[in-house]
Amino acid sequence: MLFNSLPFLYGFLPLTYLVFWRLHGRQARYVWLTATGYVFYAFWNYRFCALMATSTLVSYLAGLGLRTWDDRRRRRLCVIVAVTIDLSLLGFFKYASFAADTATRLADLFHLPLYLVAPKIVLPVGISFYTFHTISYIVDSYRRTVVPTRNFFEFSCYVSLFSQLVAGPIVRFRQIEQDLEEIDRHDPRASWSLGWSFFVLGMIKKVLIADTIAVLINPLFADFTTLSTAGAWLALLGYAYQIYFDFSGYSDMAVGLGHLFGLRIPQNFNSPYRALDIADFWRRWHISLSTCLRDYLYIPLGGNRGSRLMTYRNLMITMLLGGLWHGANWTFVLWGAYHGALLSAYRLGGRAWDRLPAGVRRAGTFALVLIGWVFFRATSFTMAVGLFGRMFAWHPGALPPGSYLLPVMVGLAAVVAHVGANSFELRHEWRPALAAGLALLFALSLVALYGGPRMPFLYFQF
Amino acid sequence: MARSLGRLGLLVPATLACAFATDVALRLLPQDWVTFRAWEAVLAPESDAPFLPNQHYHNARTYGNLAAIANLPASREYHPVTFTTDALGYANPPELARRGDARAIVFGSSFAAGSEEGDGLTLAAQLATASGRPVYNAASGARGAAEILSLARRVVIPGGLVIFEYPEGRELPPITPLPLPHPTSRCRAVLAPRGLDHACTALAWLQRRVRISPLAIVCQRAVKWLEDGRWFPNPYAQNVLRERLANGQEMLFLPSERDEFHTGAPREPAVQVFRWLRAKLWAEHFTLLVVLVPTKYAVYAPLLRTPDAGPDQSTRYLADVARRLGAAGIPTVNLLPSYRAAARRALAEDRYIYLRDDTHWNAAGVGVAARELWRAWQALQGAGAPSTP
Repeated sequence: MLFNSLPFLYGFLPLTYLVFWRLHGRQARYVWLTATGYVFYAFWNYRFCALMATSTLVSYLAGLGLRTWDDRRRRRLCVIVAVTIDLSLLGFFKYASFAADTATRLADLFHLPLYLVAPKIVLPVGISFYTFHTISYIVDSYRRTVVPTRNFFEFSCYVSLFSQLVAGPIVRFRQIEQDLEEIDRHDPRASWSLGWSFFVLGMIKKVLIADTIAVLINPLFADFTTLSTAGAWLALLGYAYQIYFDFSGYSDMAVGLGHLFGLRIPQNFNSPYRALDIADFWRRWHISLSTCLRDYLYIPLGGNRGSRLMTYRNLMITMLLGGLWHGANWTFVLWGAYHGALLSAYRLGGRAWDRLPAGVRRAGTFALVLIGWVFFRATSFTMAVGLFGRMFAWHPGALPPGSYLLPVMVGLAAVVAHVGANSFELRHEWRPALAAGLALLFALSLVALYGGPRMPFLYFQF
Repeated sequence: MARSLGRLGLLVPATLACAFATDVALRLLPQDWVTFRAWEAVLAPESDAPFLPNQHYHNARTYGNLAAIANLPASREYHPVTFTTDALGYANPPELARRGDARAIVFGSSFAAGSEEGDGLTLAAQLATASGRPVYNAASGARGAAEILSLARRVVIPGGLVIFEYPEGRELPPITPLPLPHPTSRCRAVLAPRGLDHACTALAWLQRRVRISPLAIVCQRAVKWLEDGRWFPNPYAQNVLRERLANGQEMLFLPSERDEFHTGAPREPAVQVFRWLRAKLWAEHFTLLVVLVPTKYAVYAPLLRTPDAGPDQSTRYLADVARRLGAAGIPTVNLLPSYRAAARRALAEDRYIYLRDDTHWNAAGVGVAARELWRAWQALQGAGAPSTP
């Protein structure tokens, strides 16, 4: 079920909301949110509910162990067993086919007699996100950053919370723990309007901006070999704004839904295209993932505590795995490597970069990020190379018919992304005219939902 | 601040509630105003029969399904249509089912149903005109053998003819050995003994209201109006093939028809199923006549401005099916040769035997089929009853 779907808006959300606030007591609300999370998830594939339940149970038991035991060996065992199980599930469902395919290709390259049949495995939607939820909980419990909960339904509600279940943000237990503890003490009126404000902004970003741009650029990418140079750059710009408005729109909707249930979900995007350098970009883009990568990968690897070379190594490993997390495809690994290299280069020559005027740094950072999106959008190396060829070698020509609105949409999206305030910078105090305008845009979003095919959020595939 | 916050918190849920209420209200109103052709207006997949019973649909500006699915307003060919269904939910004059004196009955697909041509121009109607005998139109959709027999017994005189129209490209004729589990049939099986069969009619009405959202149709049209290839790319255009005929006029085709023209369709199942059906019908003294209808692409492939030089599997496939059916003692009419000839003659006068913006034949094409069928019917009568299977 998608947030931008009519069954969700007309059925799931009102029912979940009304029953939630009719229930009294924490336990009842935990159980209700857990149950609705599983129903929400079952709309994709009910069989994978068992997978999420397994991951939840394993992590909960590990948490109980970490709560009970103080001796180091047992605590380590809890972490190792639980994280291994969680990562094994993720590895099997997300990467088994990719690994088999890669091994066969390598063997073929070196003329080795190896042929592994890549198993046809359906990727359970959201597995990358809820696995990160459970792992962060186990590691934080081990580090004693959080006190593991005894209440199974509090934990299962945290893992299966529908607003963040399938595409994040990756909310850590400690970020939401207080709200969960006080789930029976919230006032539904307190964040009603704030929740709708976030939700509507997210819906407009997703349906009216991201999906409109997608309609314009998808045919261009589908036929990228015929693109002119200007067309290729414009298509890529379109994609940069599509992915930003798509994912930040989803995050805003998740935040808004959280508020409707009295749960504060942290900010996931902080105007990333206004970043002054590549490190700044990663402090602003998909914040919940980048902080997870920092806290659970980069720092345990040694972070920047060792030699300069070790820091570069740690950056590269972190970003390579970050790329791979996005999808079982070498183009994502390349995208991660590209960002790892940029971060390393910034660490090396950052002082010189920082002396440049702010406008130049912003534009330069955006240009570097933009080029990286080629790897992210391309479905193969061939396509990535082809796109670079269209962008950097001169190919004259106009936009194909039906794409004339693309420059307008890109311009509009650029203004909002580079100049406009982001959802967390807004005060969400709307004057009547602005509120009416937002409601009108929301109504237009509904027309688009009724009238077109549902476009899933881009990050659902990860 | 609280007041201004309250406004958005009121406006957005109110907008959502209004949209929901509008959606529900429009579902409860008659739905003809959002349909563009008879098929959508009277089709009843949730019922026992293909169409809603006792309907009289008229549209002065109907157009073809291909122009619709490809969102090509410029390719639409508007024409009026009137389509009437009888009390059983089939496209016939109301009194025909009551009389029960039909000499033949036509089963088959949407081709035979004839919602594009309308009253008086369907295959059954034109065959009735050609033969001077009542012919019952029992198309379309999948049918169980029990239903076929039951309907034939009800509306056709004993010893009558059962015509089965089989369009090229279907993997199997839509016949099953078991009764099909139509929702209303299942409902009646449970509720009729309790005297509650009116509840099943209500259920079918409700299912239709749940299935069809006029608000969604209106919004889809609004979105398609934008996505027509001018302001936004037309993603629907790939749903059809746009080809030029030898006379320079455009004709739309389903892409799958070209694939079938090149690759062919499975042969064995069709013959086996018809052999089995023939035995069933013969046991009740009905004679089976199969008519093989080629796809539009198979007919017009040689008449394109650049004729399709690819392998013509359609000719081979239809001839092979006709030969195998003939060998099994099942009288068969393969329309492909006569259709190609008729299409060539018509094209010379800028006329057509298929609708240019639709997958189906037009009234002229139905006329060709009706004449061929009447000829085969006469031949069957001249030859006496076919031998026992």
